[in-house]
Amino acid sequence: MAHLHLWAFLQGIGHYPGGWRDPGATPRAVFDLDYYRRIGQLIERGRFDAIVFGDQLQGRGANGHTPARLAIPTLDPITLLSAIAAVTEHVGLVATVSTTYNEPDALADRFATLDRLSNGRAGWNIVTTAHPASAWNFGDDAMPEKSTRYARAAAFVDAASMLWDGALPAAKAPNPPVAIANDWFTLHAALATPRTPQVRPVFVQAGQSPDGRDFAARTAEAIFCPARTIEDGKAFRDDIRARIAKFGRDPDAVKVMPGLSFVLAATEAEAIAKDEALVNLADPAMCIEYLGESLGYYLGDHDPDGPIPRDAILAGTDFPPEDIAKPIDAGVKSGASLVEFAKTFVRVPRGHHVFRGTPEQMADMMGEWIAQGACDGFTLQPAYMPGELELFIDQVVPILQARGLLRTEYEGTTLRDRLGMVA
Amino acid sequence: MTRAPLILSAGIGDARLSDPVWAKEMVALADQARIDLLLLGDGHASPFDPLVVASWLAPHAGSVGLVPTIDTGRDLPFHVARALSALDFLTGGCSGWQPSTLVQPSIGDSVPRGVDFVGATRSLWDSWDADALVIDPTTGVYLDSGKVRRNDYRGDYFRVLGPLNAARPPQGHPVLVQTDADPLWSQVAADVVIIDMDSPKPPPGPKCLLRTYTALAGLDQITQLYRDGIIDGIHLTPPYPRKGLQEFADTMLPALIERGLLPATRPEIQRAGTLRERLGLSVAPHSFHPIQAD
Repeated sequence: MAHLHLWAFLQGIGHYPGGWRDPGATPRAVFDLDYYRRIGQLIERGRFDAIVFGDQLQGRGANGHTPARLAIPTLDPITLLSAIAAVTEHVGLVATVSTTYNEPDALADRFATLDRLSNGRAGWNIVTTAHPASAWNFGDDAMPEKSTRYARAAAFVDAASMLWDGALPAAKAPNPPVAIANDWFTLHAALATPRTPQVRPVFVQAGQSPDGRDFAARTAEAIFCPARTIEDGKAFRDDIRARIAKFGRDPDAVKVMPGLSFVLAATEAEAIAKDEALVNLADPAMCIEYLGESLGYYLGDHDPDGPIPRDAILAGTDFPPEDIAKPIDAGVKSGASLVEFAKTFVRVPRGHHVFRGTPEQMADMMGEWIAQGACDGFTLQPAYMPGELELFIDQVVPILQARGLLRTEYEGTTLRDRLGMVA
Repeated sequence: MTRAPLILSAGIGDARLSDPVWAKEMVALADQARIDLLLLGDGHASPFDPLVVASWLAPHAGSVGLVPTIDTGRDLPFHVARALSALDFLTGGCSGWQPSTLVQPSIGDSVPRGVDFVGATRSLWDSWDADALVIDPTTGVYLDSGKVRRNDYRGDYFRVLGPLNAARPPQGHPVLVQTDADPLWSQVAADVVIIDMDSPKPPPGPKCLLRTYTALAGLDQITQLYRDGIIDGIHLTPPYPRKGLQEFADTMLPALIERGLLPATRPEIQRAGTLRERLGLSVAPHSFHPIQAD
């Protein structure tokens, strides 16, 4: 029977904005090595394929105002994953790294070192970076256009792959020996990295636009996506598999891993009540900060009970105004005050499936998604950390294993082995 | 007044640092040899990433302070500032960095670029105050927004608006190590400098370490220089790291203890304190100055 793949997406202290306030969360511990030792070992007990860290290249908040109520413990992902590699044996380590604000030779060295030290467990979530404030941390005034970012990303992956494969064309000019990799990058032959257990890290991608899906279909070995329902999952997976085939690749060699947030309890009613309580940990002030970050505009100077300051937001946002006008106009039309709008906004799921129910029901749901071809596994996003992840591993994992859906022992050694793929 | 114990430092640039078995053995030997500072990728264009090696070694490092080489000709301050912030958290405040202009082939502006790199990186750390984090689940206050701000660094080579998306490192700034081989050394207010006997005298302030290959031959000289207050420690660059560290632990360490340059056992601060505390360095001052309006 086909195995279900499990990845853990560890975004700070959990997926819910107020999750860090839950008594089962340990918001101070996320700065300590011991926490990651414990989480790494927990995840290996759950027989997950991989730990994934997301990434941002800008400070949290908007207009240079850092939120007071949102948890921001973003230790650098590749540093964390390198340390976790030292305290785990089996789990894959997938780091999100931008192709827009890095260079292929430095990135190739970084992943080659991680792959070697971890005995072949490195993965690269390839992102092009979208937030405009990222540009300002790298000497740019504005982000390059999306199509330009994807063109660079494709050339970047080719260039880095040449370094990992040791496949740089022979040097043409003598001093210094230079090999032209492609239109974007010029690489010295001497930059090729020593071969590592996986040669290349496992390529992961999360693009949603047509450009992004084509890039993923050409490049990725595993794909994140949002899928709120089983139908969403099937539609995405069918589309991406068709694109993969179009590029002459085997669709079975690519794992589709939608995000899955979850709240577990002994009964469904208790899980729903627990979810409500967790959402309510985001108090009105936190909701306004969260909304402000999503709109790229600092809302702290506006009356929470007043109208939504539409014109001020569109004039002052860090984002292109046309990208955020639609949700704001919908809010204005509803007649909601700023704080009412913010509270509603926090409650709207961000496109990912949110499961609420018993461990048995969760295992049923996961089995059903697999059986219906809606995904190859799940990227779990616990509501808060580490309490909710512990519940999953203690209570859902044994059911999945008893049903033959999840491995009981690790097979092979590398992350690519875990995914059941051949290099 | 008794002087601080002799500072012990060692540098490894060997490509085998990306071999997990070898790297773990070296850091264990360094810990056994009571090495305070282990410089990773020291002085070489290494076929590995010293920051990844340092992070991977963090759980194995014991009392050894980890000091990755940072290539100022290739790295970017935003990435480096937060990676080093994470390393400092994961090592409990026992990390440093060696910004280097020597990794890339020398070009005309290597040095001013390196100076600018160090300035940009420090300004990112200063975008967070040390007491910015509150983390009170009851009130829902995670941090004091007034203690995080854009650093708006504008140099000739790097422009970085900030703020950094990572908290100020536990040490404020990780310990900045320089060698006199790098022209950067005299321009960046280093915490520790590594010199040869014939080096020009370093500017006042940093701890001075004498470079030595195996050390035993120079024992009397080291003792005298230390007693005269000319050096604060020694830096080993063993051509064969395993042999060099082992021999140092077996023969040199007892000789240094016998001469009173090191205590017989490590005092508590040597094991539990931050690297700055252990080396007798002050906590990095907060250098943030409000940005003047145009």
